Amino acid sequence: MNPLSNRIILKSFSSRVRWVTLFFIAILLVILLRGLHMQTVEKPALDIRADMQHNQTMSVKLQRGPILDNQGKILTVSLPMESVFAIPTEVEDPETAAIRLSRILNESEERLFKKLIADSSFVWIKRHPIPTVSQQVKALKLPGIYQIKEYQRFYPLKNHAAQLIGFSGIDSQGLEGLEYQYDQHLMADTDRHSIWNSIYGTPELDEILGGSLELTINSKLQYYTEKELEKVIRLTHANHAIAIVMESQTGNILTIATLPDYDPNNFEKFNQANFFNRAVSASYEPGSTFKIITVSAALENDVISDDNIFFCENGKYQIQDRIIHDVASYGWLPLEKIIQKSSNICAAKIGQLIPKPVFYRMIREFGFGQKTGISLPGEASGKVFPYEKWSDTDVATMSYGHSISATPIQLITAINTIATGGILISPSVIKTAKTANGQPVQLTETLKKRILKKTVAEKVKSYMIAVVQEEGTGFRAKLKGITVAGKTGTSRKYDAKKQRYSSKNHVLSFVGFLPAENPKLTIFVMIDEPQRKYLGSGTAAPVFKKIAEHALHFYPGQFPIEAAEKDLPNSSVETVFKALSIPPTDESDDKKSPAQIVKRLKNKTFRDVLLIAARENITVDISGSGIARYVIRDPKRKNHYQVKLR
Amino acid sequence: MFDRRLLEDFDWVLLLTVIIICIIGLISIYSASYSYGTETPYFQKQVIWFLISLVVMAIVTMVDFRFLEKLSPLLYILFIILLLVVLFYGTGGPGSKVSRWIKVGPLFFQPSEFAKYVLVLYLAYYFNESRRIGEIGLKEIAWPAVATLIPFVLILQQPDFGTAILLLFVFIPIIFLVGIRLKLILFTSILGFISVPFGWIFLLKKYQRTRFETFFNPDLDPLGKGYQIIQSKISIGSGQFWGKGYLNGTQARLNFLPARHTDFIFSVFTEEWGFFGGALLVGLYLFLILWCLRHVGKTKDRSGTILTLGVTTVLAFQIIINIGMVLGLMPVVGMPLPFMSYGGSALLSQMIGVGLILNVRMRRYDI
Repeated sequence: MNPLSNRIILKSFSSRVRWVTLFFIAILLVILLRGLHMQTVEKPALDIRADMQHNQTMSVKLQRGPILDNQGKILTVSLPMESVFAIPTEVEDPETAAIRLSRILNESEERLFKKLIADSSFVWIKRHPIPTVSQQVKALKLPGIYQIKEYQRFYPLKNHAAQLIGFSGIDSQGLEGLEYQYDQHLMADTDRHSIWNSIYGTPELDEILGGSLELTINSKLQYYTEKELEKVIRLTHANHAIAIVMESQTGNILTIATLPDYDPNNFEKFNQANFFNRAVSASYEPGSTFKIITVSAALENDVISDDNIFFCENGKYQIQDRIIHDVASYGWLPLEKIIQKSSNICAAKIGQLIPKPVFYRMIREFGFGQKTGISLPGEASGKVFPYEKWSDTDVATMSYGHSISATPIQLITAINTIATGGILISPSVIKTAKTANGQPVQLTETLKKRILKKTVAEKVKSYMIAVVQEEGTGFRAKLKGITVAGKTGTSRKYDAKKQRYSSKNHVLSFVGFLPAENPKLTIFVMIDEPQRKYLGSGTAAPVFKKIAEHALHFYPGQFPIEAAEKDLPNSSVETVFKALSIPPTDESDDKKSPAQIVKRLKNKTFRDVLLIAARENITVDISGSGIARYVIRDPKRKNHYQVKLR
Repeated sequence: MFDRRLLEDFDWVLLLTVIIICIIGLISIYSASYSYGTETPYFQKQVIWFLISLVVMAIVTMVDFRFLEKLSPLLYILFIILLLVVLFYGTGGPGSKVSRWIKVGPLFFQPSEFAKYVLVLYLAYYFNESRRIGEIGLKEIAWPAVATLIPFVLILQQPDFGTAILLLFVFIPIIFLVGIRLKLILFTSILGFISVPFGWIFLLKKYQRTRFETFFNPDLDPLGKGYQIIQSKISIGSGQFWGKGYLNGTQARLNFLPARHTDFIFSVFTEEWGFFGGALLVGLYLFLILWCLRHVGKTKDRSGTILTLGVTTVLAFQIIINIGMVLGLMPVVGMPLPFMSYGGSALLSQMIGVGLILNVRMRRYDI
């Protein structure tokens, strides 16, 4: 090579190289500026995005805390499962992989194949497979198929207390019930920094495992209660049945049940209506149980006194354009009998004596029209109209529990005031809440407030005891050896479409407490829309009784349980219902033979005899008290019967 | 052949810079694959590859580059054959629908990784032989252009857009260096620009087209095609100035960033070391490029100059394309970051490149 020409070339080279150099410097400067831009200007937006997806992942990796009953029994717990996922680009032979996976996972080859060739960097193959399945998948050692530890929520009690506990979704997010209400508590702190720390290095227990909840619920009693409700629904074909058992002196809920229910382990297979915790979320017109409130309010404000008697207008009473009926015609009755016989007319009269603002204030003090604060999601507050809007008819019907609506939890809380001797105690389902490290978490304090004088509460209690006597509407709630105080309730459902009360759809309830002298348990039972033939009085009372018997088992030694068990031979709910059953009035089969009528009247209560008499259009002469033991057709007069109660 | 002078002129600075970057790469691979668990020993494998490539690099420096240049026409033909073999018998590696590798026993061999240096060698050889002075025209670059386009098309068919475009990027600075008329560069640029729509339709595969589409709007498909780039941006953006600290990158640890130990290693590094670390790394790369180019003017013979420029350009464009892609400045094309990304073939080929530069450098006075 010519050295000169070579030198010329190299000279031109070095000047051109300078250009190339400048070009690279420029580009790398642009890159640096871009990096700076991303880490400053774009940072906030990118941070939000990072947070969003990290938190999403975290919920998969963190373990939800358990929920326990008051005995420490597990109601729900999260256990690690090996979920299977694929990174499609790493799958070598999607076809055979799909075939082999389909054998183990029991899923169609085609669907698996589609997942394995999916145009994405991550595909779930199977979430929460049972351990043997995940082991089999692991054994296949397929490239591109991986497993990740994910927590699955289990509900060992299945249907029991389902509406209370609720459930959480596949990504561990609380969706219903306590799982929803206490989602923040049950999941570990979602603070970003603690999450990071929890993944690297040695994590604090609190940062991975969520807090726990210990409930006031007794899962055994919950189980027995639900079994009783199940029977009721089976026998009466009711839409729903609700029961609440409360510790009278603490407001702790031992049982809160709504039937029909669902299995939170497979919640997606159930009707969403079953998720609804009717005990706190549905409001009903309370009916006659509300007479307790009316009488208490009247006594508390000295509108009436214990020795007053009222004229019950012989079963018919007109207020404005409205006629109020009693089931039977009563004349002059003292307060005790008014409650015992559950006279609507006299209750209305008492209600009308109370000044409207006072009545309204008392109703509010009992907790109606506002949430009890039981810390369950979707609590309804019921409906109490402001007194300025009350007409005379409203006051009258409200006095016996219509034109007002309340949730079961409100009603039991209000009636429990009589059991505590005049103190309203807010209900609670949470006994303790702890972090994963065992540190207790502050709970909202139980509200205790005196709203009735002790003397008033004692008087009303004595009326409620009378209800559960032989002559009372709630005599079927009677337990041997233990005094029960209670009140029956029947209300017709308001048909919003027809703008009037339905003659068909009723709600039956019983609320009471025991032992009356020193109340331990307050129990509420409600049967929503039973078949008409079960509309006799106190249908809910035997259910109350059965639940009470179960509940008394949890106070061994204190109560003569054996005696209670060996009550009447026909004490099982089935036999009681058989006796209770009033055959429906069949329009086509209008006239019944006297023999049939006699049969039907037998073993009925005073109220039921009157009910049947009204339905069958017959006249009855009733003597005695208790149950109709002797029924004789009057041979002289047509459609006349003589009934002797004993 | 190996006298004292060679050792005296050995470019220790260049070697040291490369080794430092390699070590940073190993550290990042360790962090990136941390959450994969012990069943995927990326880190250990890469350490072994690093040691192997150092040995291979040493071997490359020992053979005089002029001898290699003389061999280059043969090598060129060999590699064209190999690229054809890849097209017909190549495998795509695990799960991939492309064919880039030739399986030789237990080893996978990726001819395209080495083809770019063979092309550089050949172009250096060709322009050295043509001995033209001053400006050259279309006629003179016709054959080199064809010689570039043959492997370009073959590699594009694999398909491996990243490596293919790299061949073009190497060709342009070389012809610029040897003295092409600026007018011609302008003309080819315009021609290239016009041919883009045709290339779009006829040359690019569908997945390559979507890559470009998502480049311009990654949120078009945030869970699919745009996923990687969004995740990468999140990683870098959330790194802040000083970074989250080593092994503390949330994105990598939570498995959000796909291919983080290969193409997206820069994101892992920047998330953990922040802008500070990122700038330092870019600075190291810039230093490396400038250091190599500094020699270009100082090398006495022409073929050595072209060879150094060509190899440097290959490395520089890989760096630029990779970091640009990770920062969302360029479409995702599947380009490893030199000396940092996981991958045996890639590291080996890059170290061969460095070996070539060292080779030229240590023989600069030895005409």
